[in-house]
Amino acid sequence: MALENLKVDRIVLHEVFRRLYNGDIAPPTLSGQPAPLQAEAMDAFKERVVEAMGNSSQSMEMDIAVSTADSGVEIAASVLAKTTDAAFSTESQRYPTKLAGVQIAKNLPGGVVIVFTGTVGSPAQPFVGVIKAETQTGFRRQVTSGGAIGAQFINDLFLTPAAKLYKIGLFIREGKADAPLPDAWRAHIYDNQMTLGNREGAARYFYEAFLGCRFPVNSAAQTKAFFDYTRDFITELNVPPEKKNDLLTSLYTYLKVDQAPTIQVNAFSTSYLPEGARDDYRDFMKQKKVPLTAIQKDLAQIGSSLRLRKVNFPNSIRLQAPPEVFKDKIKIETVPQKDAKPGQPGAWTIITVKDRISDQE
Amino acid sequence: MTEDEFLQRWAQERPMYEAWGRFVTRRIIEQIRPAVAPLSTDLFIRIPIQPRVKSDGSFVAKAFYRSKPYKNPFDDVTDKVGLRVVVLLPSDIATVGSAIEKCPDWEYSKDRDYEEERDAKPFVFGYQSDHYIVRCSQDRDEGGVTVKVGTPCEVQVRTILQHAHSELTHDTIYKPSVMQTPSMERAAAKSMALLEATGDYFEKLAEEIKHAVGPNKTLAEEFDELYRTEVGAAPDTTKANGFLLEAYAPVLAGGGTSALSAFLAENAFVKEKVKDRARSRILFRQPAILLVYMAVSRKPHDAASRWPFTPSDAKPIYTDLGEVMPD
Repeated sequence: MALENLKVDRIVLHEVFRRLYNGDIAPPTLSGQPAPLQAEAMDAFKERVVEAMGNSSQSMEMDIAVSTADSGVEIAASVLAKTTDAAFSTESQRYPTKLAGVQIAKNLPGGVVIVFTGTVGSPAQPFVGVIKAETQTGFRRQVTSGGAIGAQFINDLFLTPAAKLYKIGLFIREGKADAPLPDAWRAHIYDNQMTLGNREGAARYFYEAFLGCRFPVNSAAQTKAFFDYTRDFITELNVPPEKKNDLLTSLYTYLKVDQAPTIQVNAFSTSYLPEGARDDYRDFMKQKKVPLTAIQKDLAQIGSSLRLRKVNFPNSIRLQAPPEVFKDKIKIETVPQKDAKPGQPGAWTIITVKDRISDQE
Repeated sequence: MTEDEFLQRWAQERPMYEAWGRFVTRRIIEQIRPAVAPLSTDLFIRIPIQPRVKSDGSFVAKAFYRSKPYKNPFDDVTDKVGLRVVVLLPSDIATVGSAIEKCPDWEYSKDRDYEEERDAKPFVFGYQSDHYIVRCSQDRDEGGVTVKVGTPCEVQVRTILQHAHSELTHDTIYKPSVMQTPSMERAAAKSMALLEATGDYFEKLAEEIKHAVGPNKTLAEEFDELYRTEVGAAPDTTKANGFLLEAYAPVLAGGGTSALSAFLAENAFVKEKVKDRARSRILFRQPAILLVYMAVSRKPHDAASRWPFTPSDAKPIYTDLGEVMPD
């Protein structure tokens, strides 16, 4: 999702803590008033949010699974309904309170909980955002009175560009305020740990227990759309056949061999596509309505097409191999034929299989 | 009128002349502005205009002790206050001239026209400058001082080369305080001839430059206009605008600004963002910044690779559009 025209009206900060040694909740620190930011700080804040959510391989639109009382979206709706700063701040305390309750595992760190509201998009739609930002350590340069440069140690930095240290949930209201929950609402989640293999573990408490979201049910269809349209795009790309072959091989590799649980347009293009084609690819996928944010990789609908990669020639000649061996074992070259007579092919193909023949029929 | 009476009157009226000089300066700049936009008048006028009133001594000397006698010395000396507009090229003089001639706040007369003088005496290489006398067309209040109708001010218009020549020669040769020798006059004439030739070369060079940057320049003018109407504020065009135009003009593929207008209509929030950021950052007062927004929105990768400044300066544009700037 592109977070264009992001405006932030109100921000309030709270803090949650790691569970006590015996597993009890350490009461969160709750704030009763907004913490306004200066223009430059606000720019940096918006930049963090946009960089995390916007087309990132770690942000995803999720389905809202729970919308009963005290669910993520219910709190969002009631936070948004508060008009005064004081009422907004007090209502926003429900988020840190809830987070402290659901982060049951004792190894989960504490952090600053930032609740903010504003509008996004054009036309502008209201949203409620909640960030859990872990604190970091760092140093700050300090010039002493003698002119020497020293270092001051800081142990409570948060929201630095080291994005893996925060998680964001964004509830955007796209319809009327009085529509039954969660009809008018969409949820977007950013979590660096979403792309790790152990999706079930580290990140789950945030999007599921805390915010009441789940992975979209149409992941398999989205994965298929990603595969089909990317293949179409590469096929139409104006590059030499060898290059095209490499690109197709990388698409198969990306989907089948890569262990990441999510796929994403930008991640694929920056890893594999030539620089000049990246914007066109993005436009193409956008046009085909493939999400630009992360898609949960679900191969259920394309498993069979991934099993074998095929290269077809006229006269029923066909080369096929599992995609994982294509990259290392097969080399395809195109050789122009200058003396080709009319009706004869202008180019030949040399295929090198880096192995001996094991069997033939 | 004795010298004493004369100076008394001058002491009384001097504030009025000072006020008139300030007014004329301001109005000339205002009149020139639209003619040279998007170039700023600060760049077009090469030496800041400084209206100056005559010192007592030089006024008295001019009024009483000169070979040509004035009938009514106080009023006949028309350069009691004067100012000078110095420009780069001979063709720029016409721009200033027409700005002066079109202004409704004064009646003007052109007392010296260097081109006419040159045509009359083609063998002479002497002082060159256009002189106007502008007279207040009606009583007016300028900063609490009433300027009476008919108050004159002398306006000299010349190129920076003509100015250089005059700085060296005018006070010495054309005024009787120094005895001039034939060799001095010869040297002055030689340098004027050389400067006039140089002026012609400048003009030719400027023409070639204009031809080379022509497409970008008209584009710059269109952007200037677009920025004014869309953002609703005056741009503050600097060299940065040139860099941005050069980098992003290819995005328009020669199609002019209509695509940009369409983009701005579709994404109305962009002008609000630009207006907001323009308050504190000069980059957002460059008309071409609008084009950068369009380029980023359409092709974020391509736009990032075109950015001519430090990458972090472009980040706010990406943030506004909800895009992530590629590394």
